Amino acid sequence: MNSRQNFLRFLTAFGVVLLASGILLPRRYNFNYPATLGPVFDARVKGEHLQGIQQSRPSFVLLGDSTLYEGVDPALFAEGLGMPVYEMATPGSGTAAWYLQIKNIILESSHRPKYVVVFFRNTMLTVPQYRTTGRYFALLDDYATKNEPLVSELAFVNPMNPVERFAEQYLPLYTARVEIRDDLDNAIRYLPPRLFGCNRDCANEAVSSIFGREVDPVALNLAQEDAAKTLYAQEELDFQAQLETSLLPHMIALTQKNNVNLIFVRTRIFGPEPEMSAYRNSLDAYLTGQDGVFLLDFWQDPRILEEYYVDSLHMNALGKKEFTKILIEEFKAILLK
Amino acid sequence: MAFIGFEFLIFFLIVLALYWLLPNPGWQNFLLFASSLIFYGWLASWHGAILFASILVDFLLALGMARWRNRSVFLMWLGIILNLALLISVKYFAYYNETLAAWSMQAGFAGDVFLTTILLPLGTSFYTLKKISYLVEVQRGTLRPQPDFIAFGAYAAFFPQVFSGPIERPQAFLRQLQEKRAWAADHFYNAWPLTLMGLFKKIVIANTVKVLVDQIFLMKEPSKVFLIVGGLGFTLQILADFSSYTDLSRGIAFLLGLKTAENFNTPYLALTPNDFWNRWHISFSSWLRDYIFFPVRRILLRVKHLPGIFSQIIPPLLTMFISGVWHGTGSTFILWGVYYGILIIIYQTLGIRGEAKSFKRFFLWLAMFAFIVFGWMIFRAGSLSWLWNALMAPFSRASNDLIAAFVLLVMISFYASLLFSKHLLDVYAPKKISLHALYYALAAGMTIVFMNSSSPDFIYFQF
Repeated sequence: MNSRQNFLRFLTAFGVVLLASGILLPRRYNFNYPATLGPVFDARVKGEHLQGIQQSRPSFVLLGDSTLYEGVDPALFAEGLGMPVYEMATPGSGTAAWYLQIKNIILESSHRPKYVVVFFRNTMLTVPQYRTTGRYFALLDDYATKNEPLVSELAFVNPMNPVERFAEQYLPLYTARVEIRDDLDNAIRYLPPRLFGCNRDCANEAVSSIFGREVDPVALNLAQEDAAKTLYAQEELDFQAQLETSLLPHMIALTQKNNVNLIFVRTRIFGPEPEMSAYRNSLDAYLTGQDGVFLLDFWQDPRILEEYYVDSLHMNALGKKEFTKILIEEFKAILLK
Repeated sequence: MAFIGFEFLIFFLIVLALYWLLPNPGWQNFLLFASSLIFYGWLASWHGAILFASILVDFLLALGMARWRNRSVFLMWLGIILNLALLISVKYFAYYNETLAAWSMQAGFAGDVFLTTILLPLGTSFYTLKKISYLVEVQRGTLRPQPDFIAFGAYAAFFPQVFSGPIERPQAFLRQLQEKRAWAADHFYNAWPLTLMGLFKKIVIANTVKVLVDQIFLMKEPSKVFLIVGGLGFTLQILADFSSYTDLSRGIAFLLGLKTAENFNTPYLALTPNDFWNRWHISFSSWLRDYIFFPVRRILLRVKHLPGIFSQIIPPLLTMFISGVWHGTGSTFILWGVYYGILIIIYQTLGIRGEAKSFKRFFLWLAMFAFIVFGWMIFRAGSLSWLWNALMAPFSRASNDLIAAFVLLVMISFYASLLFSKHLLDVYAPKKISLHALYYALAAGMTIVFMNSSSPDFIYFQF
């Protein structure tokens, strides 16, 4: 076979694929050239927490991911402080979701809490793109309004390299990749079970039953440590460089403007971490230099023991109780200030 | 630096442009060596320094072997021990990693236990085997020691292979490094299908199937049906993942005017365990065969009064045990290795050689495929206790299990069919250029659609 001929035939076929997709996809998925950079959010904001805050009228609203959910007992915390507490733990969330929760839920509420507490670890606060794509996008969309230019820019457009930006705007196969994958995934997932009388709901229920099942802690640990590697990329450890492209200053500005105190809680983890003392020191200096911002640092707190954890990140029932008690003491000190 | 990423694209384009602008092989080799050290030390420069130092030691030892023939065996063993010590220390002993990190900080490099633990073992497994084969070949007299340190460094640290192989033999590659290399269109024509297939297999197949497989192997108490589906999924994932890396590596090497070893030859069509290892990770299995299996067998055959059964049993068992240890640090990897050793012995004892025809051949294939899938279940399991529990579990625990397993199996089968259709094209329509072109065009289109949705790590990085 002639190598050159092979390549030319491929180029022709690929050209046809690109041309066909260029004509068909914008019609099917309703976009124009150049396509808009960044995500398309729907206008709906999940109202559950807004109502929750308005009803419970908390002094503290706790924000964080599954480590908050597994690590803090809100009832015990409220009892210990003698003040109402509302927990908004969202497993799988990151800074982009927390920013949106502050902006579109907490500050939109008719009741304004005195403190917003954000539970974070390692470089999460300065990596806005962490947990924003794929299955995390739906979670983010729950808290986004139709128009979120800041999140769109910092969490989606900024991290793109020039090739991605070009592809996103001018290559329909790339622009519509999420929708095409969804359609393909749905076709593969739902069509064959239908042959056996199992409709869409039946297939969904079956699959979600295994995806929601109890997981093996050792395997989960490995998966979590694998996922955390994105937070430890070399560029993410450069605090000064990351700060201006992060949502952290905007989060602080929003709360300052609305007279809400912001408390950041750095949780302890028991997985491998890179050497990041320079990052940590810069972040600490930055946070403690802001009005109305407090930092509680537990990353090496000897009171928090490894036996309190089920994996490198999440606490067990004992850990949840003990950590909540420790938090109460620390918060009391802040309240005295 | 990962192969699939903007960072690597920029790095490689710069290297490629400079490489073909350089006037002679000496400068081209220098660029290859320097860029390989940069590539390997991208996140922690001292990783590159360790690689450089280990290459220098082996280079000097090989020269020493040629100069002092009467001490060549000693020097070879010294080199092997040093290489193995490096491999074992970075791979198996966490405290060595801490010490290494501390030393590196004292030496003025940015030391980091995390980087050492996670990244240093990546690649060490591969380049140490390359260097050991070089030392052995020089000692045996089948290879002259390379007098040019730069050329030897370019071979040992060659960046397309440094993290995940193939484990290139020195003879053919060093010869290519000495020859004059000029750009030819054929370099590109050889490279593009490999590069495209590498990206397609990794981005579309491996990354997608990985999500399903991970979910199954994350379950605390999976029923047997999920273990089977997970095993089948991982069988596809590891082939797509690892062979994609080899394809990319070979494609990149072709663009640099260098031909490197093939690593896979339809391994899942194997009829016997021996046949499987002749088709799977070929560069590694042939390394094991030449430097472990045959030498051990020769030694055992020479031992007087030793029952013949020992020379039948020990070489495959030891070879496969070493293969397991090389692949990972957990007990599951060791069991996986021993499992293959036992399989080889059983097949040999029963005289099954895979020369059957039609119906019997199909059953031989089916049995071997089942053994391969079971092997991957051992390999992928988080622990032996997890595997044991899964094996002892009921076929399904809940009414939904069978439906969910069916849905997952359909999804895995779809992605397997993408790979299988390429195999059918290669076997039954090798000369139908238009069909191949259409396949590649669709593969390229799918790769674009599936881009930027999963993590870019390769399974074989951890070896």
